[in-house]
Amino acid sequence: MIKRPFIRFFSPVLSYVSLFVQEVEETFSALIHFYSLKKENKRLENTIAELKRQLMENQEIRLENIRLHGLFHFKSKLNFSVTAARIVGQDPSNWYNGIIVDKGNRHGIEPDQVVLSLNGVVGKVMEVYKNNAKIMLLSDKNSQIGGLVLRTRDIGVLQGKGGQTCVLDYLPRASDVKPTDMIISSGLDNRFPKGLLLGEVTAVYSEKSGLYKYAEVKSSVEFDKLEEVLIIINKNKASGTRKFEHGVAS
Amino acid sequence: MDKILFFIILICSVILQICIFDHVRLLGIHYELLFSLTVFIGIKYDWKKGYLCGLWCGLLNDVFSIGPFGFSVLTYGFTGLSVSSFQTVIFTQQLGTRLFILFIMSILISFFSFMILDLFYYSEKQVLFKLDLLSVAIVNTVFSIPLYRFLDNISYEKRRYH
Repeated sequence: MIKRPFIRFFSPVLSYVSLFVQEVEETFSALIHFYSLKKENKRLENTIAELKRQLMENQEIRLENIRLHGLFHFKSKLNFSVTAARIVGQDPSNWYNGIIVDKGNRHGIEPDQVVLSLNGVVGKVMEVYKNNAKIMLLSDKNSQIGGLVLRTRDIGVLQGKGGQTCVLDYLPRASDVKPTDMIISSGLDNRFPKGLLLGEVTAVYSEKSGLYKYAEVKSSVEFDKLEEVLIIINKNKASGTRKFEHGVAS
Repeated sequence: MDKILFFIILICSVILQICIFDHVRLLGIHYELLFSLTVFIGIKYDWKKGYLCGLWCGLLNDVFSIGPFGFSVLTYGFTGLSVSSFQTVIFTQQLGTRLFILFIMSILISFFSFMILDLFYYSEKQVLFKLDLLSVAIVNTVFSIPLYRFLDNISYEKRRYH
């Protein structure tokens, strides 16, 4: 009975004092073990940095895995014999849009072969070396591909304009081509198999006195973000239906 | 700058140009490191070194490009040769002056390239002035500020060492 009020009175004081003592003890302990704590901190910082690096590596591997998985599926859907290549460099000049890949004539690459990505046509092989090949992108101003408007079946020539855009030229004046129309390869140039996705129409123009219409086309491939490509080594046949899945008519 | 150092810088520049600078775009244009290097050597040293540097840079540029072989050798060689003539006209040891010369040369060489490659060689109406000449000059000038400082430091350290 006598103990209880004392304990009730001292209880909060005791808890505050014990907290204070604990803090002081911890501070002193920290001061005493400062050097070892500093070492421990350094070690933990290094561990965190290493884990972050590993996390980054894992993320990179995961993304690469996703890309390669997509390419593998795409490859199995194609009717062509293809080989995958990694991009190792870009054209150093501002006047040309080209890339360098890590496959060459040792891997069956030859000039004029067609280069694809998951989203459509990338370009064609220009020069081949033993272990490397130079590829002219679809957007290069010297690139010309026979194009076909998927909806209206009008035929034209797709020319690169630099950047992400191309121009589908020599369309008939009576053509009903509209923005958002899909453009596929016509197969008439004897290089690019018919039915490969080239891009989407963004604008249509017609010359006042000319015979033709022309359309501005946004390429389906984002050239700046390309990391791997597929090169058609042997083209057997191309399917020609109108449903697109991963950049090719299937 | 001795030959070994020059070739080390040249090889590093080519690797940087092909693997890194072609991914870094400003105003839709990527930095032409080899061109800037040619201008720097041409201004800093005599016409012989400028010309030689231009030839090497042009050659390496042509090797990795899909364009007609020899065109960069011609333009870069001419650049290295011609920029050294500025030494007799203005004080070329200041960073600002060098950047100004680089700016002017970028415009001139881009215009020349446009005239030869686009207007006469391909004669396609869509590609007329595809590249904004001013953008090329601005990008080259801006990116060259750290490069020129770095190269200046290297040559200064080398001189002090000797």
